[in-house]
Amino acid sequence: MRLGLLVDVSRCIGCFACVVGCKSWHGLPAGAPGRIRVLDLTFGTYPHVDRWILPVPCMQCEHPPCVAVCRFSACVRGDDGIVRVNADRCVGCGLCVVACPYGARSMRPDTGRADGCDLCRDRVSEGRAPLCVEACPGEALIFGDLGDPESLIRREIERTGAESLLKGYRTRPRVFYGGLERLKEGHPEAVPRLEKALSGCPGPETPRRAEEEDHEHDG
Amino acid sequence: MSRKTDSPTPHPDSVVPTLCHGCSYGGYNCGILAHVQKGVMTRVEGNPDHPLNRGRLCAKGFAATQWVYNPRRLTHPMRRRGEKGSGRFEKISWDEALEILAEHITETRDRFGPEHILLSKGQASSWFGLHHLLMLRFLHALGSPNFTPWSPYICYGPQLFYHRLTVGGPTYARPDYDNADLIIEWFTGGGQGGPARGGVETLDTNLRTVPTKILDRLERGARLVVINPQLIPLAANGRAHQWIPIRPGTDAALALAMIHVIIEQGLYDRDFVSDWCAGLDDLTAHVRPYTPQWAETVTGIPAGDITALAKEYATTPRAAIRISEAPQKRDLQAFGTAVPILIALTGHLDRPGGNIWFRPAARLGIDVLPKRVSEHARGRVLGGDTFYLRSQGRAFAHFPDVLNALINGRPYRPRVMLIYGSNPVVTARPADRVAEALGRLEFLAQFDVTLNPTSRFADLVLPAATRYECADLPCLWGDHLALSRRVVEPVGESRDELEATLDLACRLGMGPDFWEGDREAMVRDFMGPSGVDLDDLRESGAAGLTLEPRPGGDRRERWAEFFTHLPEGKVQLFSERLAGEGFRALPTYGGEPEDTVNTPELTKAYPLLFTDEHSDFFSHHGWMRDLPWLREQRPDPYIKIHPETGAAHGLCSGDWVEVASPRARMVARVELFEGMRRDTVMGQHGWWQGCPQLGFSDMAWWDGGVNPNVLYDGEDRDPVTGNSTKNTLVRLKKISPPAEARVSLVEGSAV
Repeated sequence: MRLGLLVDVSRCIGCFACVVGCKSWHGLPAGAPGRIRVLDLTFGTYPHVDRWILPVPCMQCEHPPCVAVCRFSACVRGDDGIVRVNADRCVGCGLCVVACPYGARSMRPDTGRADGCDLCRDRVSEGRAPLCVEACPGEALIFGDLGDPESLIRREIERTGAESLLKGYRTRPRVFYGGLERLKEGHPEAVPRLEKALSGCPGPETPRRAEEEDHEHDG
Repeated sequence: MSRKTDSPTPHPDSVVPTLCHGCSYGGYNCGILAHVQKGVMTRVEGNPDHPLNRGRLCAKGFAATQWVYNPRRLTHPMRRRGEKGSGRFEKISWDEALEILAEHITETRDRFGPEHILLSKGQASSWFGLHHLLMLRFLHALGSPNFTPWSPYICYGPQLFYHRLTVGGPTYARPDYDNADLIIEWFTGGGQGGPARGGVETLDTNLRTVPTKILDRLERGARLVVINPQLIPLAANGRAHQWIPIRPGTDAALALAMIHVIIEQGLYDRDFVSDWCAGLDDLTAHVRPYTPQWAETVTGIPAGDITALAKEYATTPRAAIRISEAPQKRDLQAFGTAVPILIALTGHLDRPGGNIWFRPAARLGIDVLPKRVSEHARGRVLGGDTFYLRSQGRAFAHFPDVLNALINGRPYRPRVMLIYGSNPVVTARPADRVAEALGRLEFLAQFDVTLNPTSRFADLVLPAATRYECADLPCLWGDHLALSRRVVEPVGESRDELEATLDLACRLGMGPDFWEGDREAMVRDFMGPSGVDLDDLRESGAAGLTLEPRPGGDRRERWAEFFTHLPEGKVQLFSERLAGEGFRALPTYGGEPEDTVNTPELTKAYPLLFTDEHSDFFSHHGWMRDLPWLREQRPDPYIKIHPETGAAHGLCSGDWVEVASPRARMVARVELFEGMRRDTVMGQHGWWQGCPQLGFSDMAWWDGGVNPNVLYDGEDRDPVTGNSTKNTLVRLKKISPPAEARVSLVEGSAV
């Protein structure tokens, strides 16, 4: 199974239900970014302005940098394929926070340990979707098995040509964004700006080979 | 009270299907599933079986546990100790509290007359649900006519009044999103509240959503036009085909110019107008000067865009308009009548895809005992001689007249007031007169979940339980009956306001009219008109009950039925009733008391237009800003301005600024936003509340504080309804971050 998400940006209304819902579901404290963020950017100049709002979850990468840098086996990918933080093993070094290109990791102010998305393993193990997916009032998120060609998520990704963000880091994210075509048409600089905004650390510009990524959703 | 620090368990002791408190807690809201572990509500999620939100839930709904377990919850009744306004209280028992209240009520009723008793409620306990009806019944049983909730009579009520004056109907004709090909979302401020709702406007409360209905319809090729001074989230992500950045407060000019175009170009529905509308000739002559060119100078929208919008609306068979539920203008008559005129002229009234009278399948209700108010008392209702009240059977008191009566003592000074779940000192206008008025009461009792600035004027503060702590409450919307259920026991000694009111009524000797205090008996009576048994509803679990649709509920073009109360049974393009009362009978552009048209001389010193957002995803009116999960997304009171406006004032995002109108000032933090008119400053309604858990103190709500209401002219009112403006002219000045000043609501009480 390769569980992933498709974000239909045309349906995101920037309501933060995913952000607050996730915190509420997992009992996370206020004062830290949490496991999912929302970007809200404007493009163009008044009155010819476009506003684009989209959620930025953990990308559940196939090649997760957080797992690669963790010396304590706290960042792991389990047998279920889900990338997560095992808080019991985390010593709070913060390397995963730096390593994640998507800013998906943060330190919890109350425990001093890293916190990250686990795709709501508790819900998934009961056959449900992650909280963010089920909560979204716009119904903008689709969850499913990228490895199943018949799954709704696979079919929708193929139908819409949805792509991941920050592909140049080659982490092979399992989160795809559809509905960005209108944005790209109107503003060629949009995706680089988006990527810069969601990037978790002050690092290099988006690597130039971003356009060469291929077949990221193949089984 | 317990503070949960661990992650909620995946295996709660129980999961209770109930309704969300988020937007208002007495009414039909989104369905949720509340998890309980060892008697503590640990978290909530959307209820997939509830038709309104189908398992979806918004940020405010998810923050439920932080509301229930708010460390500042009122846990005991409190009585004022010391000077009125000092904010000093002492704890007393419920028994004592209700006895004191009963004494004051009895004394006032017997010595001065029942009309000296006022009762007010806010949105928290919903409109026209059981809370509303019980409070009205209680007041009437005492013999008082002075039902005084501030909000619907300066907010939604006046708009609904003009709508029905023009096109009749049992209620507001709402957009038929399911079938619309053109959707015009016309807000005058901006901001949404409860986005999980499926596009449904509950009876007459705020339509606070970006509904999935709109998103679904857009996917099927519908067009969306958003009219708003700012680029609201609904218009983002390529959704809006057009954003019309209208100058705040000038919406009537746009509507009138659209009418002009539609009539002049013969784009109106000739059959409908000739069969069902009266006054076309008068209207035609009247709108002649309201050209798109004129409207451009007023609204800032290019004349070509205005003309194109009018044509598009008129020529799209399935086109719907939604306007803000709370336009809040001094010049409300013009906007409030022009929009239903547009809907009628173009033949979109009660037709698929247009604005439709949706009727519920059934009704819930109790008798509010209007006849218990004597003719004499009814005749003494405050503001009773106004057309607004006379036309509605003098069913409630007129807010401006209540303020005058309290301050000036004319025609008499009310003495006792009960306020349920409302904070008029912050949310009503004008702020200083409201404060002065409340200070003149002999006795004020306030029911609420936490203290708020209005509490400073209270003699008695009574701890209300949240709906999660209250017993069964049936709620109806459309053809669905849902049950709000208790999730956990009330915190501290907080109490269901329904129960407390029944108790109070019994202590006043009114037991026979109040089910001898038996809440369940009352609830069964409340369900009576629907014919559904409470036990069946209880057993329906998470799904609730879907009723048979109202016979004929899907009929359309019901003009014969719904125009019967209109003069001649026709749409009032020219309002006979207003003419008969000596008011203007046609929508006439007047603008707001302080704007570029009426007070151009002020624009030198106050060059920017100011208005405020009514609510947003993280707060509702004056509350919920003390919930950490919500407050961290919007930490400070803010204004939004265009980056060029910011640059002209040397302001960056995050800077603190003083906003000064001709009469008062407020402070806020700057947020630069490209999607904002360059001449506009957008504040937000309702700020005062701190969030101690995140280190934010409560803030001043008076002149110089953070409450935009102080900026506006609260005296110049719509002569018909008494509505007042949410528009003014301002200037900006960068200031240093305000020193940490703790505004104390209460001294010496353990909260």
